[in-house]
This record gives sequence, structure tokens and C-alpha cells, in this order.
Amino acid sequence: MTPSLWRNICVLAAATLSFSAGAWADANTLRILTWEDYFDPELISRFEATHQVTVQSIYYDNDEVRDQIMAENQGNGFDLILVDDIKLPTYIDQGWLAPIATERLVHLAGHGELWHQRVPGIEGYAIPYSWGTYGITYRSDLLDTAPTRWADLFEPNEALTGFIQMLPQASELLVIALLAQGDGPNSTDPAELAEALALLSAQKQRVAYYQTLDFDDNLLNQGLVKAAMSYNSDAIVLQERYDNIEFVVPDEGTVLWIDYWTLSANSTQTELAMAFFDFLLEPANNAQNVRYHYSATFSDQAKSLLPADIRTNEAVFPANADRFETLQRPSRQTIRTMMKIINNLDID
Amino acid sequence: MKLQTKFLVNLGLIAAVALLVFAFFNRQIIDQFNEDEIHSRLSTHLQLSSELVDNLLANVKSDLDLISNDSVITSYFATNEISRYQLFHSEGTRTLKRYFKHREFYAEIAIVLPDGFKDIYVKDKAVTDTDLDTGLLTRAGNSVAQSDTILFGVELLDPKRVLLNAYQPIRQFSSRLMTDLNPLIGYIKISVDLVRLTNKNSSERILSSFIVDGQNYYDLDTAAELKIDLASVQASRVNSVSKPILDRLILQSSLRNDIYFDVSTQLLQRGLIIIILVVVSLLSMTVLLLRVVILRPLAVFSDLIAQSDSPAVGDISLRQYDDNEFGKLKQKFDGLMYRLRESSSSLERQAFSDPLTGLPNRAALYRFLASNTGAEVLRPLSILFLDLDGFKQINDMYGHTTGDLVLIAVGKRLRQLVRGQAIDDLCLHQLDARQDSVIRLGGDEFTIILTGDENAEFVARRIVEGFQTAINIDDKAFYTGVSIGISQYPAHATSPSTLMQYADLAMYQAKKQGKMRSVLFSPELVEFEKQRQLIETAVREGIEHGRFSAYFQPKVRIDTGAIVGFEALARLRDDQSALVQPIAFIPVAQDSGVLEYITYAVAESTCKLLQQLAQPGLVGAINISPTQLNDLRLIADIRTIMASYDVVPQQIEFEITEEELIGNPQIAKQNLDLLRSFGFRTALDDFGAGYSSLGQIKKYAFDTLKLDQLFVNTEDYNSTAAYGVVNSIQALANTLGMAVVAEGVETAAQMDFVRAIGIEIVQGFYYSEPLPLEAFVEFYYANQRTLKRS
Repeated sequence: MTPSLWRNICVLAAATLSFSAGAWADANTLRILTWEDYFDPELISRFEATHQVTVQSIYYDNDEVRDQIMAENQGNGFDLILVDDIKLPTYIDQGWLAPIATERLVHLAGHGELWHQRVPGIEGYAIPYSWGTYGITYRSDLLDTAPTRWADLFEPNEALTGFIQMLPQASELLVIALLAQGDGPNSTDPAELAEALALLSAQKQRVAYYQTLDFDDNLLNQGLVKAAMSYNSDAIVLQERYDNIEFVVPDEGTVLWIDYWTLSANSTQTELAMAFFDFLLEPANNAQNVRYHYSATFSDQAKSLLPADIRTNEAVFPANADRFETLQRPSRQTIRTMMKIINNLDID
Repeated sequence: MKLQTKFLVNLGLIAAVALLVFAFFNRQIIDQFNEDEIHSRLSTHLQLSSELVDNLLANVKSDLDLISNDSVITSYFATNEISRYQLFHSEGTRTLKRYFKHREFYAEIAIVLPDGFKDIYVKDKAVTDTDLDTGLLTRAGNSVAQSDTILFGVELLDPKRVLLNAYQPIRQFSSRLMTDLNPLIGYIKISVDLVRLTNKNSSERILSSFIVDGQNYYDLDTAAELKIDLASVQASRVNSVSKPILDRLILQSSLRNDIYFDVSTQLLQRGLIIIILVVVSLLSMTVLLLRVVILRPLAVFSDLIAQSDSPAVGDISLRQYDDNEFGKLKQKFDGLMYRLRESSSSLERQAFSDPLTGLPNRAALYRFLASNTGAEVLRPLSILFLDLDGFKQINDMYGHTTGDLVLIAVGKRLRQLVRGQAIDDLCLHQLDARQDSVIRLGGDEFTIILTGDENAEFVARRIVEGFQTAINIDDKAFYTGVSIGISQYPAHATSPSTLMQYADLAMYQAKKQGKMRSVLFSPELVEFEKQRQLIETAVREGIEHGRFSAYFQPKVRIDTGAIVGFEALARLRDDQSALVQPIAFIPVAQDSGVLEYITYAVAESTCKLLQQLAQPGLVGAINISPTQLNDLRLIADIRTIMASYDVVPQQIEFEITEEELIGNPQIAKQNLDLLRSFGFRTALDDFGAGYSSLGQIKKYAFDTLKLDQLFVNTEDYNSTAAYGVVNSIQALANTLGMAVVAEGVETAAQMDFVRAIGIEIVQGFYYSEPLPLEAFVEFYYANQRTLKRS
């Protein structure tokens, strides 16, 4: 299934649901908008059983689909929305999110301060869920020289040329390109942005695919791709399934991404949402989810509950994660560069 | 001009004219066809491309409508300007891209804010990355149409990029209230690449273009490929049709017409070449046929005509044409040839036969000799040259008619004598060496050709004898003899003319020898003839240069010793001053008809001498030839000379030889009487040498009888017999009253003899040889003195 088609279906589904939900809101149903495979179903079942409710998950596979859904009905019909660190301030600005009484969430304190220090102004509108990084997933058996730098993807050796997979999102491509050329990921310097655009444009002919790692019909495993820009969590899932898959955080560094749970401004299930927040913040549940999706948690307590192979996995918990920046809200210039990336790389 | 050439030229001209007419009309038809074809193609093309453009415009409108109603786009516009960037920019871009990538001719889809800022755009690489929409900024100037709410404008990026921009205004979003009153918040823009569209629209030969305000826009590469340049003068070679698409946008289809015309010209040229080849082949075949069917028979005819001289004309080669027109022509030709041959035969007969006798003529003789003599001897021949003796007299006496009859009879007799062909059977072609032939050369001359050389003289003799009997015509008997000269081939000569000349010489010799005989040519005759010719030359030159003179030999009375007269003798000196004897030059002069001149010269000298001596009794004797005796003009001329020297006829004596009297005694007597009637004296010269009898002499009444010198010059002149003869002559002369002069007295003994007989006058060397005038005068006076003394 191609990403675009999948997204269209999601959009349609979301639209239908939103209108019906608006008409006859069910007090016993909690609607959440989230990535697929990002929550352990067993936990969902347990929560439903505990609270005698139904959790209805609406999935998006791309942040922009989520944005579109939100734009159309301002989150009407959804109770919980999983939002990334970049868009979260805008959501707040748009008034799409309702304030959360975080003081009632007893397990939140165990997640430390970092989650809201990274993105100023979000405290009271979001609770942390997980974080991750970008890196290079590659086939160790097909490459004599393991890639260690982002630049290796932009100036690939002969073996790698034509066997590169990149993520399809312009914002992420721009960040990696800036890192590869030695600039800061949040650079707003027009020259640096233009340079990054040129770098990406030049790379296009050496890239085999612009798409997110998938697990079932995997390009790396098929040998169609030898190295891929990917999320760290996806790499770990692949490693679980296939041999010869390695993940590296490049020398230029990477950026942190953080996913937050938010409460829709139009939600009528505030109490149930608070219960769900509390449920997932609970270290045991939190750790169970990490084991499910391999994305890191801010909770030291939860981390301690994890098995050692996860807890000590550099891919999940990079030692120098403190040095990694998170992305700031993009400038107008950055956004137009992204538009040009879409134009030039012909990604959709 | 030869038939073949004429045929070729005419046929070629007709073919050329036909070709030109064909080419001209074909050109017209093809040109008209091309015009129609070009128009039809262009119209069809324009129709199809306008449908394509209409379709595209419909797509543009529908896409503008869809995009402006797209949820992302409406969200985008619904969101405040700060957030829409962060939330919807990328997704908006993706949305536009979805539309963009499915439309081949879109150059750009953009969301343009009212101030001209391009908020979002997707575009192909050729469109410049600019934040400001130049199309919208200048839309007033470029506006080509406004239909419904959509604005259309044309934007020229560069010569290769001309865009048709369509702007759909977006107003403050309200799904429930959509009116023009809503404030304008932006435009959805779709740019169509017109040049790319023209490229797509252009076909293999037709260039599609758009015209805006007279300016033509099209794909330069395609135009270059099609070799169509709408901007240049060359446009005249381009046909175009056009159709308005929008208010100011015109779609045009153009076609380079010379491609069609070139192709048709090429086709026409090829056609013409093929036709020319066919025509040339046809011409060649026609000429071939002409040669086989007409020219070859004609050539055969031509040969036939060329060979028609030959008696056996072969016409076998014409048999194959018997069944066509040539057969008929051949029949007619055969008839013509038959008549021609008949006529030719008759002409030949006329040309080669003597009309009088029917015998072959001189031409036939020479033709025969030409083909039967030569260096290579075929067989010996004898040529008998005949001249009738006395035929002239017959002609003179009985007229030419009788003469002709005699000639006919002579011809017949000759044929009988030589056993030649009968006249009626004569065929000139048969005049060949197998038969003895009789030929009449003309006049009384005949020639007989005998095969072989053994019997010539025998035959000649038989002929001479055969003419001893009379020829009877109308109960009259005519006698004519023949003198024959014989030459033989190849013994004497090998050329016809020489053979004839030798035979003639021999005949002349026969005449000289006394006629009625034959003489076989001998080389000496040539010598004689040469001699004769030398003399003849001397005579002619003598006349021309005055080399003739007169010598005088005195006649002396024996008893007194007085000179009583003299004989004037002609003398000739040749160019070497050698004396030529009268016996040699007189006959030649006579034959040459110049004897008169000599006679005049002698007569004048005689008169001069007589005048100088002035002795009335002195008589000068002048010799005249037999023919001169008949010539009254000569007598008159001599009288004129005499008158100028005051000489009287009694002082002039004409000496005549005997032979003149034999031919025609009657006329001779008349002439002699005539002379005497003028007062001239006459003398019979050389009496005793010829045939004259004493009886005959009587009737001529000569004044003087001159005894031939043979009477005194012979060894036995003083024999008894001789004495008797001369004595009786003397006696007779005395009786008849004629003085007797003895000629040739050279010795005293002879003088005694003459004196003894009683002859009174002598002439001879005893007294004096002939002397030139001055010597004679001197001699005469000496004689006078002697006489006085004695």
C-alpha cells in the first residue's frame, strides 16, 4: 500500500468519524488520534476493561495528515491527540487543545523536566509519551564500510549509490541535510537553507526510495536498499525481525523528537482522558509500551523496569542524547524551503 | 535530312510538346490537389488541436474548482496566516502536487495572495523560483479573457516558455455564504505551458502555435525540426489556419507547403523521367522497327538500284517483303527496271553503233580495245585500219545519199569478207574477242578487229581483192578500193590508241605506196612518221619565221648559150639552217595545206627577179601542185603579185606534173586552157616518169615539155633504145609545137647526147645549180656579158 493512498483512506475515515461523533457523542467512548502500532493493544484492552469504556483509535501515518484532520474540524470528534514536539505549540496557538490539569497526574513527576524544557510553553497542554532520534539503518552484510555520517548518504560510495532510502517528509529531510553539511538543525540562515536544498536535490539521483521504513515488505531486507534514514525505533523493530540490520546515530549528531499526548479542545471526555493519561504515565504501563514500540521514555522509573537489552540499547537510549537538539518552530523561510524540497524531490 | 533523322526529330518534337503539355497540366492538377490537401490537413489538425485545447481549458477550470474546494486548501485559507504555514503549508504543497502531476501541460499550480505573493506553489523546473507571481502582477496587461470568475492571462517567460495563466479568485471562506462580496484572500493559479502544448499538438508536418496580440508562440525546436519559421520572410512558404480559443488567444496550425510542393515536384519529375525513358524507349523501338520494316528494305532497294547497271540484278533479298507494300513496290520497280534496261540497251546501241551502217562505231571499238588490251595479254589481236580509195570522188560526183548507200554496201561486203556477225544480230555486248568484227570509224574509214595475228595480212589481201569487183547500187556500178594498215596486239603495241595510230600509219603508208593494198606496221614507219613530223615542224616554223626562199636554176639555149628562162625552186632551211629537200617538204606542205604559202613565196621571188632583170623574153617557171591547178583563187593571187612587180603573164610558166592529168583529165584540160587564156605559159614537168602517153599530151597543148632527168641521168642514156625514145619525143614535140627542155644535164657527155638529139634547151648542173636571187642575177649578167663577148 502506497503511503499516499493509505493517507487518503485515513483522511476519509477521520472525516466520517468526526462528523458522526459530533452528532451523537458517546460518553463511554474515548477517541484517540495516533500513529498505528504505537500503543500496546493489551494495555488498551486493560484500560477498557478497567473503565468499562471503549477506546477507539484513529491512526495517521504522517504528521501532516493529522494536521489536516485538525484543520478541518479543529479536533472535533477526538478526545486525545498524539502531537509531535514541532507542531504542538501551533496546536496550542490554534486553540485546538484543552489545558490539562497535570497536577492531578501523579506519575507525571517521574518523567522529569526535560520533556517540557525542550519545547517551551507546552506545560499544561501536553504530557510526554516517548522520544526518539533519527539515524541510519543499514545492511552490514552488503556494505564493506559501515556508514557513520549523514554525509555518507549524501556523498555515497559506489556500493551505496542508488541503494539509499530517505524519509519522505520535507521537514525531516531538511534537518538531516543541514546536519550533514555541518549546520545547526534549526538554522534559519537562507544561505544554509539554500545549500541544504541543493544538497538534497543533488542527492536525489542516488536515492532509491523516499519512504518510511516498513516492516512487512522491507526494502533493506530485500537488498533493494543498503542504507536508510530512519527513526531509531523502526530500526529496532527491523533488527528484531531480520538479520544483518544495523543502526547508527551519525557523527554529525541527530535531533530528538518527542511525542506528546494532548487533549482536544472539543473533547467532552475530559475525565476519561485524564484517566487514560494517568494509566499510560504509570511506569509499568509506560515500560510495557516501550517494550512494544521501542521508543524511549522520559520516565526513569519506567526505564528501570525495562529489560537490560532495551534499557542499555544505544539505539533506544543514546548515551549522548542530551547533546541532541530538538527542532524549533520552523521559520517562514524554512517552510518555503520545505516546499521547494517537495517540488524538487518530487515527493508527495 | 535522312528519313530516320527526320522521323526521330518529328516524333521527338511531338513527344516533347506532349510532355510539356502533360507536365503543365499535371502541375496544375497536383498544385490544386496540394492546396486542397494542405487546407484539409490544416483544418483537421486545427479542429483536433482546438478540441485538445478546449479539453485542457475545461480541465483547468475543473481543477481550479476542485482545488479551491479542496479541504486542505480551504483549511489553509481558513487558518490565520501564521499558523497556516506551520500547519498546512507542506500538506497544501502536496495537495497541489497531486493535481499538478496528473496534468501534462501544467507548468505551475500556485496559491497566490492578493498582493502577488506565491504562498504555495508546485511547478516544473522551467518555471523560475520566485516568491512574487509575475503573471498576476501583470495580469491586466496580459489578460486574454475573463470567463465566469476565472482570469486568463498570457505570460511570456522566454521565447520557449509561454504560459497561459488561469487565476481562480478565493474569497473569504464560508461554506454557507459564497458571494462576490466576500473579501478576496487569494487566487488559485494554474499555468499551462502553451509551448509544450503546441509541441504536443504539432504533428509530423504541422506546427501548432498560439497567437496573442499578433505575436506567434510555438515550440522553436519543433519548428526547427519542421523547418517552419513563422517569424521570417519564409512565412510565405507556410500555410496557416487559425481559430480563436479565448478572447485574445488564437490557436493556429501551420504547414510548410513546399514540402508538399517539393514532394509533388519530385513526383512529377520522377514521373516525367519515367515518361521520358518510356518515350525514348518507344522512339528507339520505333526507330528499330523503322529500320527493320522500312529502312532495311529501302537499303536493299537502294543497293538494287545501285546495282541496276549490272545485267543480272539480284532481288532475292526482297522476296521476304513480297506480302507487304514493299512487294508491290518491288513489282513496280521490277517493271521500271525492265523498261529502264530496255531503254538503256537502246541508248547503248545508239551510243555504240553507227547509225548509217548499223556497225559498231569508234566508241565501241575503243571500249572493246580498252577491255581487251593491256599489259596483261589476253589474246593476240590484229587491227585493220581501212580507208576507201576514191570514195571522195563518188561522193563528189553522185552526192552524199549515194555515198551513204555505198558505205552501207561497203559495210556489208566487209562483213561478208571477214565472216563477221550479221548486222541485224549485232549485239554490242557480243562485240568481244571471240568474233572478228567490222567497225565504222566515220567517213570512209573502217576498222576490222581480227582475233589472232596469223591471218591478218591474208584477210587484208582478201579484202583488197574483194573490192576489185564493183558495188552495185540501183543498177549502177561503183568502184572503190581500200588501203589497209595493220597493227597487231601485243606485238606492236599494247595501248588502244597506239595500236590505232600504228594501224593508221600503216594505212597511210599503203596509200603512199599506191593504194589498194595493205601494209603491216613496222617500226620504221614510226621513224618515217617522226621524220615527217620533223619536216612538218620545219615547214610550219619556216612559214612563221620566213625561212622559205626561192632558188633559180637557169634554162639555157644550147645553140646560143643564152639564158632564156629559169625554174624557181622552193627552198626551206630548218632552225639549224640545214637545207630541207623539196621532195621532203612539198608533200608535207601539201598535206598540211600550206603549199599555197610556198607557191606565193616562190611566185613573189620570181616576179621580183623578173622585174629586176627586166628582160621581156625571160620566162620564170613556177611549180604548182595538182590541187592548185583547180584553185582559181591561187591564179588570182599570183596575178596580183605579178601586177605589183609589173610582170606579164607571158613571162610566167606553170609547171605541172603528169599525175595531175591522170585523176581528172577533163578538168585538167579546162584548167590549163583557163591559164593559157590569161596568157600564162604551161609546161608538163617530169615527162616520162609517169604514165602519160604521148597521145594524151597532145590534147593539153602544153607550151613546154620537160623531159624527166631520168632520160639523161641513167647509165645507159646514150644507148640506141634511149636515143630512139628521146628522139621520137623530140620529134613529136616539134610536131605539136612544144618546146622541149632537158632536165638534169650535168655532164658534157650528157650535153652532147642532148645536143645530138636536137633538144634546144637544157637545165641542169652542167650550167648551173639553182641559185639564190642575187647569185642568179649575177650569173645572168655574166652570161649576158659572155654572150656579148662571143
